[in-house]
Amino acid sequence: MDSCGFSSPRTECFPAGLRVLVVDDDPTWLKILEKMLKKCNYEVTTCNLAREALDLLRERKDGFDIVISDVNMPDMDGFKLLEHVGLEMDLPVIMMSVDGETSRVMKGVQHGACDYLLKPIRMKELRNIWQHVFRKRIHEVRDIEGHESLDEMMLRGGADLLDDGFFFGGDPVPGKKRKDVDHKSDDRVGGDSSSLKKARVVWTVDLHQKFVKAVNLIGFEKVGPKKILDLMGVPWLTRENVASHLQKYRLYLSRLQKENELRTALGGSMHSDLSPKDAAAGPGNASLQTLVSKSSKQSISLQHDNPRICEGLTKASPTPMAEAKAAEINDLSKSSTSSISFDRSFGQSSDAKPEPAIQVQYSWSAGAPPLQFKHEQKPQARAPPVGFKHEQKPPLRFKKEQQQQQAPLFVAEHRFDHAPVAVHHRTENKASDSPSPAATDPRYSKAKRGQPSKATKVESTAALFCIQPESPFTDCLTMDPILSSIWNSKTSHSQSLEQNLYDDSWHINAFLGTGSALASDYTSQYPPNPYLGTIDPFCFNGQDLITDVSSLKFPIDPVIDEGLYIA
Amino acid sequence: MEGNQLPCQASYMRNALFNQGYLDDQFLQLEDLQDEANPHFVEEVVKLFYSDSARLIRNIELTLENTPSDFEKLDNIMHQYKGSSSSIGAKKVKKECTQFQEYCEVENIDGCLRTFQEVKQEHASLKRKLENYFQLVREAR
Repeated sequence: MDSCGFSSPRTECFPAGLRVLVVDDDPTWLKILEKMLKKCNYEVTTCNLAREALDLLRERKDGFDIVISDVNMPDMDGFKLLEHVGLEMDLPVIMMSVDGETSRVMKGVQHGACDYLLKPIRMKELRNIWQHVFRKRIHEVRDIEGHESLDEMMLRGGADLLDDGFFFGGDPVPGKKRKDVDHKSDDRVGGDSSSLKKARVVWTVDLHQKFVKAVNLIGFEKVGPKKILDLMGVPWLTRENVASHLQKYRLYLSRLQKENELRTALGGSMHSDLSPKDAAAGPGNASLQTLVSKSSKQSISLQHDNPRICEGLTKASPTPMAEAKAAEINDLSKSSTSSISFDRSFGQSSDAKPEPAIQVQYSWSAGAPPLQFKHEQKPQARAPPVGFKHEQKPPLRFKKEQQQQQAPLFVAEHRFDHAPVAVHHRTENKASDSPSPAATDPRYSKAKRGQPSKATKVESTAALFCIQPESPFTDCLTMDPILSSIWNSKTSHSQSLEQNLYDDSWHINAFLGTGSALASDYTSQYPPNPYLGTIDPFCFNGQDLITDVSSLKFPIDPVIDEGLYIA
Repeated sequence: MEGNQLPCQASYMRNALFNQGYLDDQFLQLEDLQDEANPHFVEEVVKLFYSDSARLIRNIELTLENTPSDFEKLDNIMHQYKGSSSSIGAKKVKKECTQFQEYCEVENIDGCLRTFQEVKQEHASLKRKLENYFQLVREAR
């Protein structure tokens, strides 16, 4: 990683050392792209699954400058990944595909891709990708330092980015900027002192909560960046920051809406199961369980659970804008900046404790309605599509969340609930109580919904919480990234939750174990599935992941293989 | 080894592959990427392609057997295979893939079946030729 500060070697010889994350399920292309990018003197990390890519991005906050991803991937649609990266990490994303149809390209641009490359890709096309990184940084600097003079802006952004005589260069950021930077860095996980990094607005949990609260107050239909900005009351935030975040949020909502509609069409019956139970405000476990097991079986990449559940909950609760709320929740998770990746750990909660949706609701009742949905979303996100059983995890979180729940806007906290549980268990290894607390946690039940694609939600939630890195358990980071991220988010968020988490997280420990034991646990927990193959919990480092593409889960045709390999 | 530095036989074969339309520009890109750090890069990539694409071919075969009317799935797998074959510059293979996808679009199962045979043929044919080529390159080292 590059060192902090203006004199970072990476920034001094920009674009050399640009940190690129390449995501492509085709091992051949992955190898080629890796080589091409290395030839451009970029720092390359490869990943063959979208979820792992998200894990990686969340785990290594500010660890990458740009993401290049294929459009067609088995575990997650490339456009979805694009959205998540845009909302959560705000990194430039380049899409790739062998299909150059205008509609596809347009879709890519709509989802926020800063470029769309057609395969076969030439090396010269990759040489220029740094311009997207530079452009984004310039804009961020301009956004944040809008009130400053152009010179100052260039000084901050240009000195780091360009090593030519046009900009001042050399001189460190003036004291004033430093203060701004520090202020912003409070919200950041990494606390990187590089001004370039700080220039980018990090939509932390708190920030996004304020954003969503403002949106709700104004009314989603009437919302506008200026109004939101005024309501948020964040001095250093600019109208442009809010505008771009709002745009992403809208995209996210619309996508959720579509999925929601699809979901509703698919599983209307589930709703009915859920709603009455939810209304009961009691452990509507049965319905949730059914829902969860159904949804988890349905599809790996579905992210609909959240919206659907939200809808179900909506019935129970008097929230008018179910979808908006669901979207908010989803968005909240997306806008988080942490690196928690819940995909794997949470997908399995098909048998998860059935938490009645209602619970979540009432815990949220204090707050804005959208928040309720958010909670629900979180648990759902946690359920990884793969038949994985981490039921225990989600309940723990929720439980805590409920207790913690003070303000309605603590969606992020709830989300975060999921994540930390896992982490706690790993490090603390405390025997915890049975998952009964989870049962009472409405959020948890949501997770049980078994949203396959929730990873994003959960992740974002966790991400929201990974604000302060000064957790004493930073060594968790060396462990499973999901867990570590959860841990970080958790500790940073609320210490009081820890106790509860410990109690509840015993089963997580039982599942996850620590260190190498985890691998075997994971194997048992994450049986190889047709979509994702064998999930390797430790594959959060793209480089580790793709050291040998031939070891990927593809069946090798012995005949062809032998034939080709002439000694 | 640069393409133009190959010994006579290997060089001749390489040129033939290009002239006869088996390989396109992408293969040149791969050759350009080969350097001291990765002296056998092209061969490695080709091997990787063939080991990975075998599974895609098999998937199409299975789909044609079990659910031949699932044109969307067929198109999907073929799309992946086509993208993969474009990585090594397999020109003729790519052409057949496009043809297959066109048949999928109009839901012509016979056309699909016929074209798929062509795809497999081109796939195997190029594989053989490349194996021979790399053998020559290796012998020349």
